[in-house]
Amino acid sequence: MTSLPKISVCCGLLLLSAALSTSPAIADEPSQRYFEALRERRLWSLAELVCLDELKNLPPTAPRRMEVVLELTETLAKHARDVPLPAERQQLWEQAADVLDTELRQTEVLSHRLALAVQRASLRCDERAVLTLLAEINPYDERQQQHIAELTSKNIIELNRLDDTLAAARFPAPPANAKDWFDVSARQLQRSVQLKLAEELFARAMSQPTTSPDRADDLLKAEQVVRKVSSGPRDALAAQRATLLLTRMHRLRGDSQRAKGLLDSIDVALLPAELRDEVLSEQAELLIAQDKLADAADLLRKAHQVDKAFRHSSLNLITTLTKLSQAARQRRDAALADELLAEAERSARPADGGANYWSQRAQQAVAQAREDLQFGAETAALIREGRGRYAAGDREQAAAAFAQAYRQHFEKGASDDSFEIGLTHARVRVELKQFEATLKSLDELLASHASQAARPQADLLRVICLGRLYQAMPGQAAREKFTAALEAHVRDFPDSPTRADAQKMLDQLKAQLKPAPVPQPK
Amino acid sequence: MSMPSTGIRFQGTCFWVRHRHREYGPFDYEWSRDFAGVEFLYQRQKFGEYCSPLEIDADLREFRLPMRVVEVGSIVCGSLIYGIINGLSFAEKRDVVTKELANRGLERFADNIHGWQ
Repeated sequence: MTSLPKISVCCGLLLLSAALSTSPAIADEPSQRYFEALRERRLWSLAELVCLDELKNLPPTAPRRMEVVLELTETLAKHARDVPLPAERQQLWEQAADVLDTELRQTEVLSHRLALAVQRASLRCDERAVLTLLAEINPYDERQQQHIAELTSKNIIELNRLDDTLAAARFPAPPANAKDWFDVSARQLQRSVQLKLAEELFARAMSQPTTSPDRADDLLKAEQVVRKVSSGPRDALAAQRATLLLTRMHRLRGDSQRAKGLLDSIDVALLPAELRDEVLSEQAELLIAQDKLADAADLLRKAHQVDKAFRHSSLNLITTLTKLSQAARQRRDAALADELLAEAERSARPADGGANYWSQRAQQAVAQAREDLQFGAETAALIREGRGRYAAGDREQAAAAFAQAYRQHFEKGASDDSFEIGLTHARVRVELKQFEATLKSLDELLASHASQAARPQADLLRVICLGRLYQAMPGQAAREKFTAALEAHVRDFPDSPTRADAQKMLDQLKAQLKPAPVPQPK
Repeated sequence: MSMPSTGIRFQGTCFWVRHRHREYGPFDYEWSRDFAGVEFLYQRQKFGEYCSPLEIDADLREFRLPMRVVEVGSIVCGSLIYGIINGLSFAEKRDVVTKELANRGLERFADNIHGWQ
């Protein structure tokens, strides 16, 4: 059923991947482990309170202050990834930015200023990464896409500037009073900045059409930057992430062999669970790129028998199964196609019942596969566009997409589905207050669909349009038309629940038309 | 079988909210004179109105109803008007009512809906 277009608000935990890599360069390890443990247990408020309490007693120049500030802002950024409401997420990002800006104003220590500036930039990259993932749920939200594009470009400018600043500070000679710090930490900070820069360039490339020269340019720049990081020490997390990014670039370029070689060089045993999952996803993507869909599904199935957590690779499993189902249907093997789709549906439900961003995307992928089957891929895509634009607040474009979907589906003949799409189109037009146009659409819809169960709803909507037109231009002709439509609804749909609503309107209209009683002379 | 202590009963365009074994109602609606908006009624007295999704007003204070009844009544009124204006079917209206009640932790009222097929 094409119910009124709406997109569910992303609820539950987001638990997005690609953790913010703050790499506090001057961290005290037990303290770092303590905060990491609190974050792993999602004790956000406790971690934030501990940091804020400690900050109250630390002078601006204390080295410990820097560690606490970095822990606090990393906690706020990860907390932002974990909340379902956009306003709450935004508030946490702003709080983290405020903390960093305040510290930047208070400290003159160069090493601290650089660490704070890198953390500030990382925070903006994290914001961009979260928004990009969320935008995948509704790719028709153009305003959001524009916002993400602007944020990415700003990030690239800022990261380039930081990369230059760090290079200038390290070479030819660091300040004498900070030599030890620069030997170790500035190099780490610069690698972190370069990795972020490569990720932002890659993200900007991916948001552009495949034929765009700007995309090719961004990919080339991203590769140049990421090579600097991937050639670093093999055990460093940044190097592994850089290698993973480089693998993706080779795969997109169609060089599967080099991509596989790079992927095999990553030591997954040392990686955190989420990054390990990204490697698994990439292994599957690589098989898919080589048209080895069944191998990809087997790889992902096996992995999910071991790790039940719903992550990025779980979404990969669902999309692979739906693609395999589609391929089986094209080979006219309906039984296998149905079985694969049913497996996708089962697998899209998280084992522990805990919904998150990836499970929401997985369920969306299954729903899309079902819609493709029900309406045909082209009409289903138009319905999705209508729904997405409606959710983004663009009613005009939503109505246009539903109108096109209706025309396309109706060409195959009148059905409950074509009626439902036509009715959804009319509902959006009513919201736009385009009563004349809606009336015309509904007249056509009712005339061409004689036996649909939803006829009473369409007819009541038609009556409401006539009422609104009468209200806009009161006159005898409009009133008679409105009255006749109400009487016809009450007569033609005696068993429909809409009858009571129409009867109520009719009674009120008749009461309004009764001449006012003439005052009697006293 | 005894009546559940909570629930909602519909009849025509009216409904009653059952709370702690007592029924409150009828809640109903009436089109505004120009048919552009809707007025909410409790025991045939106006308690609010709907002009557009951004202009909804309701105040049940004068009826001194239990807070739960006010919450459920307002949610159901809002859902019904949304359903009428968008031409939703009974099943779809019921879905909207159920979902909105569940979103506010009032599922027990949605579990006992009577008078709707």
